[in-house]
Amino acid sequence: MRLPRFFGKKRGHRRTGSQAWGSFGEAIFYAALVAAGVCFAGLLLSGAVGIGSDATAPAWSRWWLWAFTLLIPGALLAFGLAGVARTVRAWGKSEERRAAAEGISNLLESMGQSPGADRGHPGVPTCEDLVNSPGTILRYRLPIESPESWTLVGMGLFAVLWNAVLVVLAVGAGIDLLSGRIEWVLFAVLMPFAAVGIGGIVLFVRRLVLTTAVGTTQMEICDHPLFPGRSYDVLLAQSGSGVFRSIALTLEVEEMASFRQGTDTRTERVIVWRETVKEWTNLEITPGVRFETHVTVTIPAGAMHSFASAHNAVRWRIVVRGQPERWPGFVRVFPLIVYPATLTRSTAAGGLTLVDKVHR
Amino acid sequence: MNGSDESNGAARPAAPRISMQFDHPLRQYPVAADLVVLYEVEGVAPGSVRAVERSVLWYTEGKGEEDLGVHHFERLDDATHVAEALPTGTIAVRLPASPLSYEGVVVKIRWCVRIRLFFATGRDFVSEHVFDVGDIAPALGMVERLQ
Amino acid sequence: MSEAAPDIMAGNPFSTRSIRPGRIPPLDGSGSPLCVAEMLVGLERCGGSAALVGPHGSGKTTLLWHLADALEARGCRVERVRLHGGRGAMSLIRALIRAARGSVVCIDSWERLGWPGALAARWFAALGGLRLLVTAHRPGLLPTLWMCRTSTALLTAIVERLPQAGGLSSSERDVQVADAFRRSAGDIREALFTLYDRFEDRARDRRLAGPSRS
Repeated sequence: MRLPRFFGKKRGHRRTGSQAWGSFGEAIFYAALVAAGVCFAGLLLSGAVGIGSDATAPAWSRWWLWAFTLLIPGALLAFGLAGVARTVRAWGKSEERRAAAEGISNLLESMGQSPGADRGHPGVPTCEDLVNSPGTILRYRLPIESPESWTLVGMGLFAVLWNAVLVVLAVGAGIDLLSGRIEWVLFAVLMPFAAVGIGGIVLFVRRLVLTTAVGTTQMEICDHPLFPGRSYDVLLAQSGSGVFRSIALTLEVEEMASFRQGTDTRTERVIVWRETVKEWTNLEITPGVRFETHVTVTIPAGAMHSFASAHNAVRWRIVVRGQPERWPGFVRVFPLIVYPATLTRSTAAGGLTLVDKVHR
Repeated sequence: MNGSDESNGAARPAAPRISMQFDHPLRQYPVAADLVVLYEVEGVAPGSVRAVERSVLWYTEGKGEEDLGVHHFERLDDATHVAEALPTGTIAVRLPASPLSYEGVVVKIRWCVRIRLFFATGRDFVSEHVFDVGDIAPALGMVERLQ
Repeated sequence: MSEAAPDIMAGNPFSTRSIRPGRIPPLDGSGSPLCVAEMLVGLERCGGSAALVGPHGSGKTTLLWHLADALEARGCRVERVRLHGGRGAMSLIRALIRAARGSVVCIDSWERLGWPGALAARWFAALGGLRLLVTAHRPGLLPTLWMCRTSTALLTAIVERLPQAGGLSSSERDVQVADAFRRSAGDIREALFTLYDRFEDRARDRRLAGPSRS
């Protein structure tokens, strides 16, 4: 068993850390709103039941009271839950990807440079975030697209906060029950909250077991950015324990197009090219000893380079698909940047010469 | 479109016709090559054009919103320059290293030379002629649609 | 020097470039051209403010921007707003504040405001002497100027107006259009995306069958 590492990237100055902490803070804020909403609702419901039992008050006034008293916790809950959902959905995704998915990236009108484009290569995204972390064996360690450990933190945070509030309310209801009073409304409200709390714990435990049992996947590469027609040494390191029915490493090209018209916003992502670089079957990984292997990845000559504009993108990526014997399969994505092969002017007439011109 | 014209405006007299001659066969240019285009505008009365815009740009085509990047742009709006730019003219520019022309599935990248004429009546007319930069193989099709 | 090639369609005729609002003239549910001038008269009859109503992908936005263009061509001041997320609401507030008296504020996706927001916007517009022309999925606060309906005939008429008539022969067109319309449950935009995919499939088959590009 290997515990998930939240601070795996100790070297380099990649922005992953700060971005993740930003999301973490955001998640805490929204979760606190949810907790406040639940507490407030629980307390008000208890109080409102008391008011409702006042036979002297007319029925309509009781309903208005209910409506008004539930407005504030309802708003807190709605705002908090929406925020948590949005944070979880955006977790681990790049700013560009989120912007494209939400359709707000048109603020950066694409007249000229696309966001984050290389100055010498218009339309080609920069690879600054991919080359600022040195590898242990090869030159660079590639970042994973959706860090699982932070998803785990998000799920754990949600489960703990939600259930803490639930316990407070449940204790109150239990005390009432022991004293012979049964608050049916409070019980009715508690039931769905309890279901969500238990669901949160189940999802968190499942994710924890999956992450620790399957282990992390690391990828290192000998050079970056990549150029068509060239081959690169890649190190795959898979930790975990037990038997993996298969682990496949593929090289893929993804096209992404984001469209917004009228009330419709849609992002379409398709894989247009996939090559299985290598596949291992019935692989047994011993706890504490990770599986390490070198493979050669070749970018085909004449292949399209990485491209990113406000609403469209062509992305290269290495994908590891694993199928552990006892656990559900996993997919881990490592983005790459492929530059266009540049033709030197002096050799254009005589023959093709590829020149690695990198402008960072 | 290899060549397309469109006009904007309420009154629509006979549309001009803009033809272009590219200096590379099949309009295929290597990366960072020099592009030289001769154009000829027909069907325009002398003095009726108040400005000419000449640009070399790339745009995306496909299922997404259209993005574009202007590599070269010039606007000629004084009478002397407009007279020099019509009825024939030349656009010469060195192409950049990227993006390369690409025929993908949901994303396509095209390069074009665009000439826009602004008439004294307020009407404008644009003509666009596509060419290729680089020699990227087209995508063969969709392997998988991602959620 | 090579002579410029004739005007041929190299790309997919169903791409966003060809189907975006403004490319195809507004058509009614049967595929016949709509008379924009008559619609503007109708707008006046509605008191200057009205809604274009219809389901997703029925051409409301296309019609809205056509009417906005026509109003501008007649010298009317027009503010255009697309309501998407918080920024959409902000742009509406800015437009309502900025618009001069008598202007028409064209709002896409009016129902995104919700009824309190819509009421507030209507009240603010009335206070500032502004007119509203909006798109909505259901009739509501504003009188309905036009109900956008879709049909196979409408989709056929749109495809016929695309570059190279969508790259389909007349016999292919009828079959493909009817199938795409049925699959998309009458959503024209979705149907055009389906036809985009079919065009790509055919292009791929042609590439695989023909000599490879070198």
